[in-house]
Amino acid sequence: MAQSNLVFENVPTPKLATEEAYDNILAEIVAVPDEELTTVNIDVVAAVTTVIGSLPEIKAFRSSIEAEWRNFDFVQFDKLETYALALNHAHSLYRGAFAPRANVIELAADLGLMRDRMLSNAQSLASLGLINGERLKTVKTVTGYKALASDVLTLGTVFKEHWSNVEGKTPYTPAELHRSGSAALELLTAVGLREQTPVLVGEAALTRQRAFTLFVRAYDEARRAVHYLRAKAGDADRIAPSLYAGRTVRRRNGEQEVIDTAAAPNASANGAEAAAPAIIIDNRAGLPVDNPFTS
Amino acid sequence: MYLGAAVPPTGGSTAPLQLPPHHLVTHGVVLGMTGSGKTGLLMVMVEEALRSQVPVIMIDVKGDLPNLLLSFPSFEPEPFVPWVEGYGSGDDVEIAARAAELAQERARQLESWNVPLADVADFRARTDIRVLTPGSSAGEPVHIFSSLERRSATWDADPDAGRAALSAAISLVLRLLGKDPDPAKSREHVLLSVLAERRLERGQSADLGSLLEDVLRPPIERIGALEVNDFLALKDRRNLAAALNTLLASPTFASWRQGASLDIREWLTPKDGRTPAVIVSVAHLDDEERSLVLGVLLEEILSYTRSLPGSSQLRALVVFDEVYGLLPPHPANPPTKRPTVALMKQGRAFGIGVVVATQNPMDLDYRALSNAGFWAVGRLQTDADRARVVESLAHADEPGGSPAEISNVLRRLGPRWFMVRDVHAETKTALLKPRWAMSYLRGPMTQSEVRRLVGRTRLKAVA
Repeated sequence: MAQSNLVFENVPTPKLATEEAYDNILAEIVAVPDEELTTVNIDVVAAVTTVIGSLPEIKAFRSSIEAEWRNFDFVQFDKLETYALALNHAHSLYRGAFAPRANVIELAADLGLMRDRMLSNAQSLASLGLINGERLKTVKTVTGYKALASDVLTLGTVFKEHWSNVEGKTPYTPAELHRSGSAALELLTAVGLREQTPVLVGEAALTRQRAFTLFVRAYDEARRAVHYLRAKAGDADRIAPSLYAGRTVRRRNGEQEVIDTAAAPNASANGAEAAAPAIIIDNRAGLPVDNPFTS
Repeated sequence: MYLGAAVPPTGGSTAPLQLPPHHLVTHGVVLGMTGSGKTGLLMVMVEEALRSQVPVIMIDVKGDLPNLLLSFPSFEPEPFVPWVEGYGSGDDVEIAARAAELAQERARQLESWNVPLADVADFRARTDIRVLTPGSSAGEPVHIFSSLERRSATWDADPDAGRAALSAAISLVLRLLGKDPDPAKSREHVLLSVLAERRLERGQSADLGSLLEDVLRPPIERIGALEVNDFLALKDRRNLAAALNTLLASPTFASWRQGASLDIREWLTPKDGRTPAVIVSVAHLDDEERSLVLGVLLEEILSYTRSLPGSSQLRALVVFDEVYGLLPPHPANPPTKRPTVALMKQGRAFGIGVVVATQNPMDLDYRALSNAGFWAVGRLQTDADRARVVESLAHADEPGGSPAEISNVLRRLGPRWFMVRDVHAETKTALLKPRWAMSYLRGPMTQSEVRRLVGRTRLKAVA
């Protein structure tokens, strides 16, 4: 007999990874001093998705990092996934404090279809020996919204881990896998919102900011190591992408930004107007300036 | 005055633009089409003047400048809540979410512009912000006829200035009576001026009740070469007296005669070490009332300016947002024009700077433009607008400083970018991206919002 969505809601499910990660490091989160807090100035869900998606490749460099730096702080490195999951949960709590409730049923319906298609494709690839079929056995064994999101995250990770084997043999692309991860996190967030008892916005914001600080600090360290190791290969940004990619302004100590107004679409236009200002700005002051000219 | 990031017009390195306050004694002009970010830049200039302990009088025509009171000394969402669009509609969850977003964006932006929360808190603690609303009790009421009804020392020190202020006040009275307020044409204006001046010169007040008596039973025989009855017949004087009486009895008119005197010296005196920021909001008045009220105010500012000893430092800044129609080219001559042009011609010697902002350079008398030493010009769309300003901005000695190059830049400037020219600076022209304002630029405020805002500030002050 087919189960209805209503039954899903009442089935007790084990604690989710994000919740568990949050509980495990709550003491560490709370201990982040105020003066060290990093401002949350990026999309948290997108940042978590980026890091979770990059982790398999980053982790593969652990031994190389160990060989290069004996004193590298592996405590943070090894906890990066925990920090990411905990931040996602802290973000859920923060949004739960005031945000409008998302439509869980709609999100779950879409994600259910996504999971079934991904599982079906993964099973075909497993039958060809291209991916490890053992990893698929945990998928679709538990019902519930959280389990559904967890299934999609697991499937995404399996695809990424075997990407060199399955690339070109699956309809999925890295961008689609990234989207599926985001959708799963969105469902988790929506469920989290519904379950959480209201907490004070200010308190939730501060906790999220502390979790964000731990997360960014750990990822920055890992990213720095990857950039050093892959400096010659030139693929460091693909392996450990910047969380701030796509933003107009990057301000880090010692990092300069160059704005080429000629590269902007408006300045490359035609005729007399286009002959006008095309200038190079060296953002030495590190202030958040953009292109002075528009079309 | 840290205004934002400067870039050479031909490209190069960014640097913070620090404008020394005394450069504004030769006044400033801010121009740019709608959406160019004029009000934002103006607000930053006001904030920076106040941080430099320069008192500011802001003339608020659009209703935006009370936003200065939204310079919350906190990055928490709570202070934003009452100012989120839709507040009070019942969707508290959505309002709280939006307030949190606004607070977060403000924190992020101010941090990236190197304006930490401590600086914002310090700014609020050291600034005394007042919102005066002539003819309304939404903010602090102003006795707009105080130059008429409350005799000031100006009559002893500078009778010409006193006479100009008196004339402006009588024009406003006549406008409120529905009569011709033009001092050059109106007989009623001349009669009231002569009667009021007689009283003031004798050390008496010229309150409207006394003037009413004088109109009916003139204490003088002639006005100019004519007898009083020939100048204005008894029947017409009775009509004028009856109208004055109706005005005096009107509860609406009472709001024009209550509250703070037009005492500019008192307005600009720091209290408890806090620098005064006085916002005179006239957004609720119609065009003619606005022009007359501001005429009265500007005459008072001018007479205060003339009473000061000379100075090369910036003593006070008068900021005029959206000056359209109030400082027009010849031959238009609203009551605001004479004192504003005079301030821009004479203010420099006394350390009083004037900054005017408008969308269109055609709105301004050439004397205002030609006296300005600091220019900030945002995007201008029409050739005529650009032609009016490029000659003033051009500087052949600097790269990118030719009229053709400047015109080209002005045509293509993006939102919240300005070409600035400071005649006192070593490098005279630059492109400016103003910093994020400490004040939340929510947009024009209604009378009830001003009332709520001023009420909150008063409550906090009491607390």
